[in-house]
Amino acid sequence: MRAYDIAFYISFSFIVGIGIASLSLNFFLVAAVAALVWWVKDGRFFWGCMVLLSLLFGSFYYHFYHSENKQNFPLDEQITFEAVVSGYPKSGLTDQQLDVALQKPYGGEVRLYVPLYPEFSYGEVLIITGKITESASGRLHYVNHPLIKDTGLNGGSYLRLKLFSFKESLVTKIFRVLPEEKAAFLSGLLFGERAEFSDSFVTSLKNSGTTHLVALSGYNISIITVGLGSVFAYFTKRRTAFWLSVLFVIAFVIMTGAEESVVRAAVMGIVFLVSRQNSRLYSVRNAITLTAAIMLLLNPDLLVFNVGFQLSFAALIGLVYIQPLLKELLQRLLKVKAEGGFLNWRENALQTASAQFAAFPIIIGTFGYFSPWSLLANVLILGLMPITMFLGFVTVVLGLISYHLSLLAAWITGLFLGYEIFIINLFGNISS
Amino acid sequence: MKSLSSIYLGIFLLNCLVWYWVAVGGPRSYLNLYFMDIGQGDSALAILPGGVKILFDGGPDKSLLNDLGKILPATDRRIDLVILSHPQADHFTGFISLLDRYEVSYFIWNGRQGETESWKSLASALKEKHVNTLRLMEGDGIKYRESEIKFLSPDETELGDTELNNTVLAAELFSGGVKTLFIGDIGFDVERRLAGKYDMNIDILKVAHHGSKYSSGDEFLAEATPAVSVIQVGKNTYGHPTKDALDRLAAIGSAIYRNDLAGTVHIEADEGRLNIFKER
Repeated sequence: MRAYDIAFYISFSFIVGIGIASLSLNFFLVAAVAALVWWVKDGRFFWGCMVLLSLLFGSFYYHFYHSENKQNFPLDEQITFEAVVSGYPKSGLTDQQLDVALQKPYGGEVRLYVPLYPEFSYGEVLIITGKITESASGRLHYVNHPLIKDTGLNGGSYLRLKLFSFKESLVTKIFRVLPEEKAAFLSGLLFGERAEFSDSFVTSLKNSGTTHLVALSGYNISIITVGLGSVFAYFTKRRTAFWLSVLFVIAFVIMTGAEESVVRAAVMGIVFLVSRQNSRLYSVRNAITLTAAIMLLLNPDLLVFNVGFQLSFAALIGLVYIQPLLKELLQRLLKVKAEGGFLNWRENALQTASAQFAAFPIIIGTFGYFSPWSLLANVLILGLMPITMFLGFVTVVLGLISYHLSLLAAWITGLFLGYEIFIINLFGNISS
Repeated sequence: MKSLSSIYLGIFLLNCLVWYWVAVGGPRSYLNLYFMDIGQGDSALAILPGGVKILFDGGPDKSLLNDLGKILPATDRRIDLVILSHPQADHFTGFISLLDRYEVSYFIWNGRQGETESWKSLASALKEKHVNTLRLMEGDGIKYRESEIKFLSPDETELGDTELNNTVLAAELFSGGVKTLFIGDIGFDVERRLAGKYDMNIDILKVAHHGSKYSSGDEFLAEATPAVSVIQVGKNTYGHPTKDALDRLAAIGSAIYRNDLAGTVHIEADEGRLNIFKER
């Protein structure tokens, strides 16, 4: 057996092991089935044992993780506790959302919903009085409008503090030169900042199936990487260029706060790029499984309880496995062109369709509906995404140098943003 | 050679753009009033003939930024006057975010301190941005070309009232050939005093207190007789606008516009003629 196959089977059974534990399935039953499958398919005893061990390790790791990261606080009871703001606060149009880490004697993370003002920032140590409630799904704990006393202390990491304030200054540059609606959309595209979207726009994004554009997904990151890659490729060798842009993405991830979702997007974006550069299917397969295994090592809850995680992997699997099939089908059987066209719309359509095809069961299962217009909406927008993001990036960089130059760039960017917002609202309203 | 000419073309096009801004960006000769759809709270923008921009109240959150972004071009980041009726959160909170994104020349208020945490944020933002502040009350006024604002309340006793709704800095705007009255959240008592003391006869009324049943009394409406009444109201638990208030407004034959139904209400007033646009 080849090394890459071993790596695949072992990491895959680790993932399955985590799945067993989080769904509280009968471990022995699953292990028996796995052993049977292995015996029929391969039959080598040693590797069979390794696979079973890895399965056991996954299952064990899930429980181990939970005993280590225990949440320790009473529910639905008025308590006073000390906590540190642990993430970048989301200051929306109507309220603020803070994720805080509880300090001793309590432990765990809760989310606070507080009024817009006073504004809080990352790392602040607060004394909070309120009732912690569990959300309906049981995955989130929150406190609504608690009484907060600011101790004036800061318990955050210095690096993150600096990076957050750098990001904030870049976002400010966007809002200085574009009207609110467009500025909010652009900061969603570039930095994944969604807090300032109006309710009606969020609904439109959802109904038109375009939310992924502003989720700072693997897609956005791969655009950034491809864009930078071609700039670098102009100066250096192709391979060097690729690694330079990967380095840049890592820096970008730290800047946006290195939050879980962004890290995931970056890894996915890079995997996606690798898969495009490298046509050997087994390496893509391994890259996907290994990425998933590493992410689950960091947080095993993702597999079963995080829709974002599931959707991004489903979409990636769709792109890697379903897209070539669809393309073949179109070209061979239906004799239709599957490439080219204005702004490469055929390929965009194909990509959207394959990603959605793979994500369809999850979307239906989780949200209970599917946006019938999303294919059309995405095709009309996706072709313009790279240029929009590039111009937006130029606007931000010019904003660091000169307000007036940035204003001109913003005007051009605004034309694209305006068109995209129009399409999103149009299909959002049709579908509602 | 080819790239050179495309650079020239690019510069030429950008020039056209800048001159286009200069050409269409000039002030209008009539009054533009926008009663903005900012949820449960008050916020209205008046652009006077000649271009001066006045913002009456800021609404309960950052929503006004969305509306201002749609009304004003992206390059226009100055509000000349900001007038706060009274220091309650659904009237001033939006100003805090406004100060982040717009340059405000004057902040005009009644001098009464607010009692909430967010009021402190507004006070420090005003200080930090070095905004000129002016305390005005009944009898004061502002003139700009043919337009004028007269402040009708509060008097000394009202200003000291424990009920913040009675401290409202009520403003009567004469512009575009019409009279518009902004009265914040005043109730029956202040309404009665104003109706007794002043010749009210107005054209456009910003209905008091989001259509509360303790405002817009018969006596006051009989004196004011607004042709158009705008109710600034959004989703709320108080039952605003109340049937009582709506009935009384209907009884005097006033045309009623509500932000919760119509979205932002835009009124153009030119020599006494009104054009009214609803966003939805």
